[in-house]
Amino acid sequence: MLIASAALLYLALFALAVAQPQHGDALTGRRLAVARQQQARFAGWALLAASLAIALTTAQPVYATLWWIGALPAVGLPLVLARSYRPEFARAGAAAAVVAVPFGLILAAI
Amino acid sequence: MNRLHDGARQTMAWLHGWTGLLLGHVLYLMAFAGTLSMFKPEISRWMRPENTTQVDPVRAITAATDWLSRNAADAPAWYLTAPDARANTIDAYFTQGGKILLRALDPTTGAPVPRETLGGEFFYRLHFELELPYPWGRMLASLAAATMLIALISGIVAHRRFFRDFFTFRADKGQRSWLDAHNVLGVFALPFHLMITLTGVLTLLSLSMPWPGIAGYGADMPAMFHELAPGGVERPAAGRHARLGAVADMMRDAQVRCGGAVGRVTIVNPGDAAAVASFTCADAAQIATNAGVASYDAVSGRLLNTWIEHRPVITTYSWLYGLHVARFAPLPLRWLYFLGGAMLTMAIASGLILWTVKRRDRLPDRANRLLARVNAGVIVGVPAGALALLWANRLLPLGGGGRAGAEVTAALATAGIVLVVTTALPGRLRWPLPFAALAAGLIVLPFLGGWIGDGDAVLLAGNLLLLAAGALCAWLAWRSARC
Repeated sequence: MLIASAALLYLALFALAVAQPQHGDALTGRRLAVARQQQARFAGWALLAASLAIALTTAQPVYATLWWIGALPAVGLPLVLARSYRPEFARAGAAAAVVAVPFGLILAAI
Repeated sequence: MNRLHDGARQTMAWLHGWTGLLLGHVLYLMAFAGTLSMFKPEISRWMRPENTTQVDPVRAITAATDWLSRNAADAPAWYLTAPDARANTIDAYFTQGGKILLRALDPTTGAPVPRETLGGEFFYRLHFELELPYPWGRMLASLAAATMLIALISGIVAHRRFFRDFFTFRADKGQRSWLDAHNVLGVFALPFHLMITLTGVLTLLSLSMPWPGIAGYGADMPAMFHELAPGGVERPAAGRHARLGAVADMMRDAQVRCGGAVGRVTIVNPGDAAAVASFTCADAAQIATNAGVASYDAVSGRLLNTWIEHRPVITTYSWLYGLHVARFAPLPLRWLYFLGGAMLTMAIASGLILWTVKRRDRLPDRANRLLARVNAGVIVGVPAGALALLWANRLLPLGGGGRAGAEVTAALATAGIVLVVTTALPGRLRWPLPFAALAAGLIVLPFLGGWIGDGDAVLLAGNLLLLAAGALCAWLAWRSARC
């Protein structure tokens, strides 16, 4: 479950970054329409909430919250570095996270 | 209204800058040492590579008390920490020849291990005692922690574009890059930084704010401490010699009462007919550090008292304290604590550099230039001191007294020398040269003494991390040489 939560956290931060014009341009390689930016912002916050919710179902609330606030820089820092130096790595990370979410959920179920 | 907000932001930015600067060097040292303390037992294991066996805690404590009975029978008390899955030696405080000693005891023989060292305890103590005498080190650490809290809160208020700067890092842009780095390091780990700073302030609160205790107990501090921890049994020595009873049986009984492992064992007045053995339950399975205590007559093995802390105020405090020291944290969470601590250390360092870079062109005065030099000296000197401790651990001969002290002397002397030398270096060499020296020291260290892996995962992991840190320092040397 924590794999799914971490992957969702990465996707949330990626979407929130895409929602900002100066980062969105670098991460997607093109200028997004304002409506798309708003969708990305909404998706980012929703994914952030989903990531925390999944973490909270995995462990006791205190442990889950601690894990989540610890995972925030662990996931966010590589995204920031990739966005600055190699945006294609940030995109690849998002693709990997999309795969990791169901993988993490299936792993937790079995 | 906007002007009012801007005015408040500027005031907070001023406060953030000055609070960060005034005790920034102390905070950097505390954050660095605290981050390493996350792996205190593992560092101790790396520093005692001969000891790789994992022994049952009851057997280990029995061996330790047997050895202490023969060699430190006159001590007023023995304070022992039982080995567990992370630590494979017994940490023992006792007096011998009128001196208070901390020794790691071999879990099989009970005798002190030949490689006398403070191990990870050095970084743990350095984090809040700063190698200063009691109570000054703790007072300074407490003040620095309170300053850190002010710097964090003022930093949040001063930060105009909190979310936009979340993802902004502009490389190779001078002052702007330092600002971005400081923001990213500070903002991503902000919840962790707030938690660790607030709980850090609370851990030393009785020292920095002693007045509530004084108001309640006056000068009778022992009464206060007894009420804080009423689990122990205090009784005077009988003055008659008596052999220690079956420690193993007492410990097994305590394990049953704890519902798990025993963490600490205290034997007061050993060798006396009125000796008391207290067994404190291990606190690794819970956040709060106030575990139960079972006390026995150390000669007959009769149970004298049991105590499990349920008082809400004490439990709340020990829960917050536990959150700070993170003994409960499983390995992945400990790594996340380590990352948060490392980011705090780097945020402080980047903040110190940013202060001087911002003023380099605007106020090119002598004080600012000196501060830039001292910043470099401290930022490189602290890890250099830590590295010297590890080198001394491998190079100093085994046996003989004072080995642990010599390690500490090597660490402090190296940190001081690197601080002075780096401060004196010309601008072009000030960063690349010390970083290159650090890189060389880190990369060679795993091969000193031939303890590379030897089948011990902790030893191997430690050496791999040293190599990784060396590679990082080499990259930093190369980067700073290009700037």
